[in-house]
Formats: sequence, C-alpha cells, structure tokens
Amino acid sequence: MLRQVNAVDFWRGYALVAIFVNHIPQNFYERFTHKNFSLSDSAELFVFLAGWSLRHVVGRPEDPRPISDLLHRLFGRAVTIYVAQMAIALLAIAMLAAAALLLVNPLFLEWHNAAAIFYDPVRAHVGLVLLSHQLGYFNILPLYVVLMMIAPFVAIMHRYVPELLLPVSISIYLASVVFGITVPTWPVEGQWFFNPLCWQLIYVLGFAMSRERGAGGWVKRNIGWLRIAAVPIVVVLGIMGWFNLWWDPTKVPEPRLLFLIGKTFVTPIRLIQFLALIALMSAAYPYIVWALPSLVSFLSRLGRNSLPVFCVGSVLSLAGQIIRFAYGGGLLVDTLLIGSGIVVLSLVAWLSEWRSRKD
Amino acid sequence: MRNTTLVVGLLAWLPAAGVALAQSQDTQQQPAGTGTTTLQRLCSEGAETEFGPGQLPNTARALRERKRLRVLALGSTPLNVRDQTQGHYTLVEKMIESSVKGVEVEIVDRGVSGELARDGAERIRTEVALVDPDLVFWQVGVADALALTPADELKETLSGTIRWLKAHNVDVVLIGLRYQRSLAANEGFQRIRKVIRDVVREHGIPRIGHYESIEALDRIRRQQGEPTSELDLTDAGSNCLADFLSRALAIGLFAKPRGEHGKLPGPPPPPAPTPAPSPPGKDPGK
Repeated sequence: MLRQVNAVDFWRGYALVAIFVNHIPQNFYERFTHKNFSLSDSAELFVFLAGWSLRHVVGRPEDPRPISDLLHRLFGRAVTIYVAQMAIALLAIAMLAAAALLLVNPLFLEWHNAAAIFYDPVRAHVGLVLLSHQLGYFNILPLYVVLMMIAPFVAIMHRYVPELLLPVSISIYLASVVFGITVPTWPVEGQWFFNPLCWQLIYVLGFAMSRERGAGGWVKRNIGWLRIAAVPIVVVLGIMGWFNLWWDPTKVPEPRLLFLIGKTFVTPIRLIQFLALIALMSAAYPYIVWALPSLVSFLSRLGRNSLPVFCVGSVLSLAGQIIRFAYGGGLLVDTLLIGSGIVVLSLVAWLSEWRSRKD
Repeated sequence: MRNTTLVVGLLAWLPAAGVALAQSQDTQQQPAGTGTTTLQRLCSEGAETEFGPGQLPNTARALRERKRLRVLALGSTPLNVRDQTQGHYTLVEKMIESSVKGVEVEIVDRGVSGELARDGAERIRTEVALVDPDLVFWQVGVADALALTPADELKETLSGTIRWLKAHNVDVVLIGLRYQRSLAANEGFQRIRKVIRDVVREHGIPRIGHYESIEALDRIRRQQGEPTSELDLTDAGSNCLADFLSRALAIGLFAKPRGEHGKLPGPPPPPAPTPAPSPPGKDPGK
C-alpha cells in the first residue's frame, strides 16, 4: 500500500528535481534552485531525509523491529544502492564513450573524472567497484552505501544507548573537521567529494530529529522559537552569499575548517545554515499543501520512489549535458531538456508504483 | 650566491631531467616509430608559454628562503599516461626535485574533474586557506567549454580569482585547454581559449600553452603523411604536461623572455628522422 502524501516525500521529491536541474550546469533553470540563495543545497536535504526515513525501518519505540530483521533490511538496502550505483556508473561511462565517438570529441573521455576509466582501465575498474573511484555528479550514492552500512549501528545504538548516538556522531564529525580527516580516492589521487565521516552527522541528525524522544522531541517542543532564531541565520547568510560578503578564509583561526564554508566536510557554518533552513521550510509545508496540492502530490510521488528516480535523473542529467554541448544551450533547448526530464522522472515513479501495485 | 646556484641548477638540469624522464618512460610505453621523437622534442622544448621574468615571485621566495615549495593543484587531475604507477603531479614533483638539489616540492591535488571555473573559484579560497600554497596550478576551461559557460562570466571569474590569489601572495599558473582537432573550428571552444589567453595577458601570469604544442605535433604528423588520431593527441597532451609544468615553473621563475612568447633553451634535440617542428604558436585566434 502506498504511503499517503507527506512532507518527507514532498521535500525529497523537491530535492530530486533540484539535483536533476543542478546537475546540468549552466542551464537556464539552474538559477532558480535554492542553492543560489542558500549555503546548503539539495544534497544535505536528501541525506537528512534519508536519515529521517530510517525511523520507518527501526519501528516505533513501543513496537521496535527485531534486530535481525533490521540488519537484513538495512544491509539489503545497502546492496541495492550499491548495485544501482554500479549500473548508473556503467551507463554514464558508456554515454561518455558514445558521445566521444559520435561527436568526435575525446574531451568527453576525460569529463567528470572518467579519464582513468579509459586511460588507466585496469586500476580504475577496481576503484569503481570499490567505490574509491567516482564519476563527477555520480558521487552521492557511494555516500549512501556507506550510510546504509552504518545505519544498523545507528539503529542499534539508538535502541540501547540513545543518549550516546548524537555525541558519538558529533565527535566523529568534529574529529574529521578539526584534523582534516577524509576518505581518499584511488587510483586518481584525491578525496571523496562527500566525506562520509562528516556527512554521517546529517544522516544521524535526520534520524534523531524524526524521533519523539531525545533531541527530536526537544526540537519539536521548541520549534516555535527555533524558527524565529532561524530567520536571521538564513537571511544574513543568504545575503552574504548573494553579495559575496564572506570573511577572508586565510584570516580565520585554526582549525580553519571550523570557520570555512565547504561542501566536502559540510563545515559547521553550512550545517547550521541547513538546520536553520529546514526549521523554516518545515513551517511552509502546510501552506504549500493548501496552495498547490497537485504539486505536492506530484513531488511526493517522486519522493516515494527516490532510488529509481534518482538513478534515472542522474543518467538524464548527463544526457542533458551532452545534448546541451551538441546542440547549444539557450532557453528553448534548456526548457525541452528540463521539461522532458521531469516528465521522464514522473513516468519512472509512476511505473515503479504501478509495479508495486501489481506485485 | 645561493640564488644564482639555484637559477643555474634549474636552467641546466630541468630540461635535461625532463628529457631523461620522457625518454626513459616513453621508451617503455610506446613502440618505436609512433612519433615518439617528435613528441619528445615538443615535450623537451617546452610548450608555448606566455610569461615574463619574475612572474612567480612568491614561488621564487619560497625556494630561496625555505627551499620548500607547496603547490595547490585544481581542476581535472591530469593522468600520468606514461607511467600509471604514480600520479601525474608526483611526476612533476620528482622532476623539479631531481633538478634542484635540496628543494622539497609538495603538490597537493584538490582537483575535481568536471568542475566549472565558477565552482572552482569558490573552492579555491577555502583550499588556499587550508593548504597555504605558494603556487596554484589551475587547469581550467574544459568543463566550461563543454557546459557552454558564457565567455564574460568565465573572464570575470578567472580575473577575480587571480586578483584574490595575488592579493594573498599566491602565484598562479593557468593550464588552458588542450588541442582537439575536432574542436579547432568550434566557436565556443575557441572563445573559451581566447578568454584564458586574454586573462593571462591582462594579469601577467604564466599559461601552459600545450594547445599550441599539440597542434604543432598534429600539423607535423599530417605534413609527414602520418596523421595522428585524436586519441593519440590526447595521449600526447597528457604525456607532455608534466614537462610543460616543470618548464613553465623554471621560465616563470628565472628565464628571460625571447620575443613575445618565451621558451626555455632546450637541450639539443635527439637525432630525428623527421624534420624539426616549426615553432608552435600559429594561433588562428591571434
């Protein structure tokens, strides 16, 4: 049975569309997504909502799911996401190769970190399978695999020592930020674009906020004044970002990452801005339902089927980039690309639910 | 005196080291008769670079005072096609260190492949704060050319970032687009290339002109009736980049320019069965 329309699915659907649009850089509609007015973007929202959704797997406090069932479901989910990542990465590689051949342009073979696949295939394929080699814009599912792998520990810790869950997660995050600890990539020297040691905190926060007790309960009880406090944070940081009024990063004290703005480490300023933003946006949902019910229904359907929609969206956004280069950008091409892409995403969600109903 | 030794050391040893590395590694990787000699010469003679003496003052100071150079690399990470057991920038580090005794070079690669200049420009400030480099290698333009970034936007982004780097005592070497035969007449591609050249001239910073060098290689091979495939040209670009970077460093530090575009005097070319390449720089966009 399908879930009723709800805020989590709606915002996840919004994040999916925004990621699809943002992943076709320089297209006309990119300027309208919230990353232009906000330090954080859809990636934080997507990961936070994944953490929030963990509550469905964990079960209610009065009726918790058995541990064995929990482990089975979460590790199974991790395997599913891993397979999905392999599939879309393979498709992306084939698309880049086809574009290079059809457009007689070897630059495509080096685009989005694909060079190692074509010029150093022996090691790169090992890296691809180990998730240590990631294509540009195809690097969020590897983070998800890691999050699903740690999800059982999150759930178990929450069940038996709930008071330790957030402190442990924050400690790992701070250790990574303070000491610059990251996960390296291979064979191309570098680091994971989404540092899992930091991004796990957003996932854990999503889960913690979804609960009725502990931090989640406290937030729900105090959401009124939290929203008031969130207003200046979102507004001031939005203005600073828009007019590029940031402080000089070379002048901040050590450890510098604590005071800088960065996506890889989802640095504290970015994290605080994100939390402030969702505190505000959560208030908007009832009004959006009232004003735009069909939009809510549409985005919720996308959100309910996030994995297939995300995978197809990733592949479509790469196709969109290639098509833009081949045919040139402009309002007409961009409108056709974004419009047809969203229609296809909707179709994927509908098909996914149609299959579920048949099963 | 110490500075003079460093200058002499770099000028004398850097090209030789480049050739030695190029020869030993190319011999291992490429079969005979595949145009290696021409490629070696292009690598060893250096790419067309746009520079003036003393364009890397912070780099020179770091070498002189600390005997230590820290470089931040941004943009797509180039592959070391000739020796895949080590990274491209590891090779550049070795080339410089083997040329000048007692100098320690560390290249911190923070490249994100496919990143547009606007996104790199945002990140560059943070990375400079974290890495505290003397010099930035910024490979830029490919992602913007493929994403059809407007020329004005790119120029503004590059200029603003270069000004910021200079204000923070960080030198920058731009690594521009690489030559692709199929894109030689592509308006958007050439527009991006021109923007990079204009910005380099406006700000007086070094540029790696491997576009012109690989274009010259392509021209020579075609004149010889042995046209090179696009993929071979891509390989050539990757193979030569380490040499170009090392030499640009030496040029930007110490050499005097020769004409509008400077080139370091290279070692005598190896015996070649092919005619010597005509000087690169026949730039249709000029």
